[in-house]
Amino acid sequence: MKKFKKDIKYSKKERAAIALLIVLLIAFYSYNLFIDPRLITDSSTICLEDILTHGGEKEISELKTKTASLIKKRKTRQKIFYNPAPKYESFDPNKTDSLKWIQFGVKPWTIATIMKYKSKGGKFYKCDDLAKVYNLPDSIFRKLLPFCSIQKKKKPTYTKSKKTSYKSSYNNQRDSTTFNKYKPKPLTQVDLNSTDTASLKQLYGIGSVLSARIVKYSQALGGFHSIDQLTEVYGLEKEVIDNNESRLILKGTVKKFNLNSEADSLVKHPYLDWSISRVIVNYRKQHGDFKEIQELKKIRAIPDSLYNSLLPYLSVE
Amino acid sequence: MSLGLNKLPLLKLVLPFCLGIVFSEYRLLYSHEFIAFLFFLTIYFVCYVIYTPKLTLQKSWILVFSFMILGYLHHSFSNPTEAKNHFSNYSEASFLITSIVEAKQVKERVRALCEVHYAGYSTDSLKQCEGLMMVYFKELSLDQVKAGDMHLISADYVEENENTNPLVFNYKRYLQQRGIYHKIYLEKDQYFSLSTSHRNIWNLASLSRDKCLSVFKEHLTSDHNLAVASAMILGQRNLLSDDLYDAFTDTGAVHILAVSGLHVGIVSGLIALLLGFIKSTNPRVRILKLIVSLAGVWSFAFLTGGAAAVIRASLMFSLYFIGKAIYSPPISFNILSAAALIMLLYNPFYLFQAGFQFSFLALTGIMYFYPHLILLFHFKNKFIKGIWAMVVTSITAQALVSPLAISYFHKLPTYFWFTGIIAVPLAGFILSAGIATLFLHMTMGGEFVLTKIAGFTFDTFLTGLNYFIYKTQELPFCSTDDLWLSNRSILLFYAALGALALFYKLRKPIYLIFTLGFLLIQSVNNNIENRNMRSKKSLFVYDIYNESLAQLFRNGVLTEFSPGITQNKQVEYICANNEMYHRIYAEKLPAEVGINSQGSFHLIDDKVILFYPDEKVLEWSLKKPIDLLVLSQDSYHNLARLAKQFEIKKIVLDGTFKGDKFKLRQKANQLKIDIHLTSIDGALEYMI
Repeated sequence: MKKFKKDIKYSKKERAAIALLIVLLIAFYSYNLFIDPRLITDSSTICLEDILTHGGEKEISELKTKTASLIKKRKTRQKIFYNPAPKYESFDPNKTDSLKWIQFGVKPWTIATIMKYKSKGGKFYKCDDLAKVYNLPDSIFRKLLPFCSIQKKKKPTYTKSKKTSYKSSYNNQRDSTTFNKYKPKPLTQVDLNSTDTASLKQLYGIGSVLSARIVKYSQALGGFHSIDQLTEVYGLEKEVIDNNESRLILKGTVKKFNLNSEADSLVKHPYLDWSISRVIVNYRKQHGDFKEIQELKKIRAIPDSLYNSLLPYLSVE
Repeated sequence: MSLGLNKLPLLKLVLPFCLGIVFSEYRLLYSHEFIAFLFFLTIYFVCYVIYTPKLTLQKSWILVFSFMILGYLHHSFSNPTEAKNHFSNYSEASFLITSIVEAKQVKERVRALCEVHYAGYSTDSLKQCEGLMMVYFKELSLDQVKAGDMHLISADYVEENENTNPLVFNYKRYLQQRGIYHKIYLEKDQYFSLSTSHRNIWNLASLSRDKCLSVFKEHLTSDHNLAVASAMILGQRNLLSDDLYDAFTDTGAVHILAVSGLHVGIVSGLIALLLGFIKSTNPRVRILKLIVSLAGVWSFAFLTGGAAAVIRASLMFSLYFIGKAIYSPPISFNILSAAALIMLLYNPFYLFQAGFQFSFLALTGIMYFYPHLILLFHFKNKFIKGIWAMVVTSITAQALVSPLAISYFHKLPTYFWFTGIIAVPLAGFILSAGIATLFLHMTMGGEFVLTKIAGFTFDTFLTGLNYFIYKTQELPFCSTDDLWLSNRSILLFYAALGALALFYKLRKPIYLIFTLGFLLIQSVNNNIENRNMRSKKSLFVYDIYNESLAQLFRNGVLTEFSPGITQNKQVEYICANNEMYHRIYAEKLPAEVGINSQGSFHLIDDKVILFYPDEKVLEWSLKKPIDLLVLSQDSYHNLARLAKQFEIKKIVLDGTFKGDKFKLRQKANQLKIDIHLTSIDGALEYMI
């Protein structure tokens, strides 16, 4: 330990030299921090000609012109980056991303509206639908319209394709049957009469709100007898139905109301209101039980269209 | 027995000074208030030391501690961007006036290190400033620029990007340690050159180097010879081809290419040989000879660009001969410490440069272990004795350098001791012939007979050296590649070397036991690390600008997933260290490692991962959720549709994606899916 202490100790001369070195360093730092004019914000400026070692007036003047031109180009470049001139090209509003909308000159808040609409399941079925976008100025809409092109969706074919665009060399080596647990399934058909919202959400253009409405309407109707009845669901566009037509099936029969025993329940049916159902009940009271459904035609309050709609849901027993 | 540290006062200061610099570099406890506190604490300590009587041991400790604080302060104050007149403080300026320090051709651009002199708001309003910047001139060639050329540039500069891939060389930090914090890319219409030039000693050195290179081109017959001559004599390594550089690295002769103490020693030896003809005992003549020697050595240092190793050697040379002239022959370790202290006071960032570290470690190894090792064998024959001395020099230099060299370069040359015997003397002949050629060409002209003979000799020696290096590289087990040393391993190696050094000094067997103990711990540590790395199962999705690549590391086997072919240099550079770190012993296809794949879907253990899907992926359905979805620019990335079709837990978007990343992130947040953007969040490491 004593030898270690001896190793660590400095002699008097050494201590003095080291202390002097430290003082010099501190003085140097102090000068840099508090006194060095380089480190204090210098308010004095110089001219370009002061730094040029040679060059006549003409050259200096050329230099100033060149510099001004350079600065102007830089500002223009910055302006272009932040405020680009619109560039129009053919586009599908359903597939256009936000950068493209910026390129078209659409303002960010309008782009946010469009993106939000699309994220909620909204679609542009025709180019004129662009005019409905909130905050999209008419002038921009008219400029965009000639470039807008919405391709009609082909009916999807649900055959599994073995070809992939994946270039990796290992891909071709695998046999499709070895990955058994995850065999590809064709897109499932949806039975409108026994489906739930989860199955309906798999359909294109149908989200949680629409699927719930369809199920509720189906329950209220007692089942669908025709796919065209889906147009009666509030908010469900015909194009959505057309796009999903091949996946929609109707199994089973609809629930029928017995005109003679369940006439009072008819008021709950979406096709009827209280007054019509009251008329049916009163007719039965006056003329006795219905022997056949066609007797409803005799009731003047029920037009033929309503009769045709109700027909699948009615029975007489 | 004492360690003898009482005779090495400067060593006792340098070590805490270095420690202080390291603390500051890693921002330990960094804040302006803390720095102010340290500043005044140091003043207090100095006053205490001066005015307090006795308590010598306590005062010594205080001085040592003060120097550690000084190291911290010195590094903190040396950050160029902290200076108020750094050009980055004039961000409102419309243009900058710069001068070229050095330039290099990089593909179709010229990459120039430029010094900023003025920040201009208008041509009548310029402010003097300082700082370094990396400037990339597009569509320019190297022969159109030279050191000292001034330009007026008007464009936006940015900070160097941080590479967010794992274990990749930190280029940003590397540049910052050289004072370069910003870069700028220039089109032709964003700058113009000024007729005036900025001349300082470094520019003059650069111009001199260009002149010397043109002389070499006249006398040397091959590109390889020119490249080696340029590296050895002028300190310029940009002409070295990759295979030539690899040959020197594999054979352990790369230190010949980097101008260092060896070259300074040869140059000083040459000067001493030339001045040896002047025999006089007159002290004034001796001082004159010393001045000429110093001037020659420092001229060589400036000519070669002032690399850390050259400065170190020149300083040591100067200090030794000045010390010898004034006092008794100084102690070598004190000179080494003094050189280190002076260099670190000039630029504390030297401590983190590989050249500085290798230079001092090699010399410490030689100075400490050589006197002991040389006594192992006694030879009467002078020639064999000389060879043995060279072998011992190579081994002792390599002893302290090897752990750090493996950490940097991940390879260990086997025949370094052998190449040292041939290459080092050859290097001496090459340097002598090269300097003679330059001298004769510049004084007598290129057509003079002696110039031609010197040039021919120079060329022959270079051809001989290159031939020897290439032949040695062909020997079996020339070098061990793909080595990985963790920081813990490096510390253990150095602890073992430290214990060995103590054993040599104190001759106590306990230190030898410590040496063996540390080596044993390192061996166990290495095995544990290997086992841990090999048992790790992780998937990396890299952040590469124009390539998509994911790598799975599982049980020491590498499996790659990529939609394209990725065999370019950039990808290899990004992945190499990570592959070494994970101790990869084989690369296999997914099918070979039992990964269940179907199209873009992969079942890795119990995780379902979907790599770079196309639109046809929507035809599939899954019972399980997708654990990770990897997307790129070319893959199908309609998140709404994918989320409707599948349950997705996590999405990663790689660096190729050029679209609106923020919108995509917003979309993923709305869908409540975790999203990782490699260009913002860095490469992804996903644990399987």
